[in-house]
Amino acid sequence: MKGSMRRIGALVKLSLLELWRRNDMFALLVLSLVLLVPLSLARPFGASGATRYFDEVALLLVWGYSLFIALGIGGRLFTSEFANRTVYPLLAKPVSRGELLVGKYLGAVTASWSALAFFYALWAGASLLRGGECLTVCFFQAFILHALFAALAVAAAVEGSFLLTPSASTTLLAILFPSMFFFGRHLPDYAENVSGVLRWLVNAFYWIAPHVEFFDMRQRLVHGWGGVEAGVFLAVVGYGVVYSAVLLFLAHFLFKRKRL
Amino acid sequence: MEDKVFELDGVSRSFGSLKAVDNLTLSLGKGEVTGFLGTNGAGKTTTIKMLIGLIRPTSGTVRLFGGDPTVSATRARIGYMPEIAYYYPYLNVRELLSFYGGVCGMDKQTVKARTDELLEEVELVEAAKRPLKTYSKGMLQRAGIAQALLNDPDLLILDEPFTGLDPLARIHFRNLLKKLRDQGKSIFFSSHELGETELLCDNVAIMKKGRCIYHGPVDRLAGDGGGNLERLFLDVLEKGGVA
Amino acid sequence: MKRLIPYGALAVLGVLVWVLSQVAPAQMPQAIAGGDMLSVLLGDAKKDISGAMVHEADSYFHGGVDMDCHHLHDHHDHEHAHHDHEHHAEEDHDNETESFDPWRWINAHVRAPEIDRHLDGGKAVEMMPWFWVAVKSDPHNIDAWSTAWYSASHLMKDEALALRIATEGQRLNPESLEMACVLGRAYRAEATRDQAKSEAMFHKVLELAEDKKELEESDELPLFSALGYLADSARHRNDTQKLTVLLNAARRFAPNHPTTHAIERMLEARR
Repeated sequence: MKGSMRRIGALVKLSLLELWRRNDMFALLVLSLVLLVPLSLARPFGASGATRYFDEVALLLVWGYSLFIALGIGGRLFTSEFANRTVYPLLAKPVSRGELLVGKYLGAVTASWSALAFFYALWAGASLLRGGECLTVCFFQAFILHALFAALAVAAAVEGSFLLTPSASTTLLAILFPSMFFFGRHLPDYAENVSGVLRWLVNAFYWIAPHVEFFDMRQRLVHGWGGVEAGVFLAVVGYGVVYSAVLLFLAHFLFKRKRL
Repeated sequence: MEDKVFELDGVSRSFGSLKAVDNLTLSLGKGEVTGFLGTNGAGKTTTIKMLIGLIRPTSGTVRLFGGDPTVSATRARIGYMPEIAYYYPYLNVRELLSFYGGVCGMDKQTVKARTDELLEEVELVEAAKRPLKTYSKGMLQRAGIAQALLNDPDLLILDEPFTGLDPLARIHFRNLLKKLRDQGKSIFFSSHELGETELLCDNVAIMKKGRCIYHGPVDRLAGDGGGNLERLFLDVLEKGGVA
Repeated sequence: MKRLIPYGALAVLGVLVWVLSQVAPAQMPQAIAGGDMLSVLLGDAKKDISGAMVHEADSYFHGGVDMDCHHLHDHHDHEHAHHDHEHHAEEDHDNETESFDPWRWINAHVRAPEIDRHLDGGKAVEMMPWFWVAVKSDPHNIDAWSTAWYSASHLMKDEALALRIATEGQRLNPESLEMACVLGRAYRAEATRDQAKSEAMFHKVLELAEDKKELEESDELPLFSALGYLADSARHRNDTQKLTVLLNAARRFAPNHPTTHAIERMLEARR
């Protein structure tokens, strides 16, 4: 057990070092500042006091970044090991493919979460500077659900990288996730307007596709609605955990069958 | 069983219609150094991958220290170096060894002590803080050797270890392997470098089209023709076996 | 540290471009191209974006809920900010009668507030950025201008801001009856009252209507509002002659319109 924890710990550390050294975070931080500093100074029609638009745009950026980071890290997780041939010495060590998958996944998730925590801390800091109240139940719920979204995105990216080529997988997920984020909840309405096989397909997609919009609590944070009910919160947490686990299970199945 | 570090018994491996390894029987005794020779595509790398549990044989059995190499714990006593690996470019060699030490389940102090020792051994002390992406091919090969030796393995499996090494590094590496042999380590390595093989090995195994056409002492092979290994190797390949 | 240099350079470049655009706006490429940056970048898509921004402002009015209906416009038209809470309760009830859909259930709970929250008073300023983007994307989006004016004057009670919006909107849309009417109304507000300018704007509405070969449905409200306001002013001044002129004008446009009848009643009362 201790050895297993050490192995997983080493894999987690590797992912964190990669995130830190690849400079993705710095690039995103600078991009945020370039976008948000002028935005925070805006006085539409000469009126001052509006803050929600800034919170909304900042949080939307954080969502975009988290998807970018999660898909980037998750997609590279194994493809770079295969491309650089480092998977061979790694699997020659006393580590099973399952441990490797879980360790690298947890590493990628930790890296994504640390980036997310950094951006949420910035957002909270900016909110505090404006005299806003930020460390609320809603804030922590929003962060936890967002973190679960990142975990799900990493799992999908890992699974996709075993199923498709890295670029195809990343492109597909980069379309699927934002589409579900913005339009996923409207799929039944769309299904009602079509018929036959297409209707069946839209409905099937509605039930199977990852409903990433569940994890989006931006409106609650921005407009001060307060936290979501405990039962609903747990249902979303459960959805995220189960969905990620299923994706990881599929990834493990594909990894075990992969010819090395 | 215990005097054999690995045994391949009637092992075959096919990829679709291609038979990469065909009914191979081969073993390595404790403290033995065996060179694994053959042309490109002869089945050397596939055999090594089966030995370290990366792939399973289609038929036959592979035993590593008496166990199944696909079970992770069985691999605790081996060190493996692939032919070419572009180790994590954003790490330096200390971080690389620390990572592999963690993967092996080694504690921090042991990893640190082994790292200091090995960096001296492979002459990477001065470059220890440089990211691996700035390393030359030879330096990467030396980093690979260090990671293979990190857990002080009983069996060292090396895939083309001399590739990319300059003459000085080659001599140094040869001496290192000799030292390991003298320490009683078992070494199994594939190579195209027949001169190095001749200098290092007790035995050689020669592969041709997935079959082992010779397995035995180097001196017996040399004695058959009375020439150097390079010429004898070519003769064996042409004849398809030793008389 | 070295690795930060490119990002630092990018940040400096961004700040430089922004400073230049403030210091010498006429020299910026978007000015030379004959429009603002958004117009240059977006082309025809700017109208859709503008509409989406008004929609976003509407959802802000509802405390962030995307109702996909146009309450703010209703308020604007009827000039009373009463939210029809029952309407939304009905929608929720309809959803409950369908077969249970766990995904819809989660979305309904995560994405809808437990209580209705509306922006009013000073908080309505939160809508302004979206209106601003809407009119920047499409300066001819009359809906955006008039709703922004309405929010400033009626929700925020900031008449100076409302006048600024109305003035700019009318300047950019001199042919719009609605914008002329909105500016006329902005000049009628207590803090920014200017009777002469207000009446001039209402007269402009009439002129624009006269010049039109055929009035559109959307012209009716500003036209008869302008007639109503002008008639009211004339009544206060006991200007029967003016009332007669206005009545004739109203009859030309719509003899049976309630405003026409209202002017008739005013005139009869004077006689």
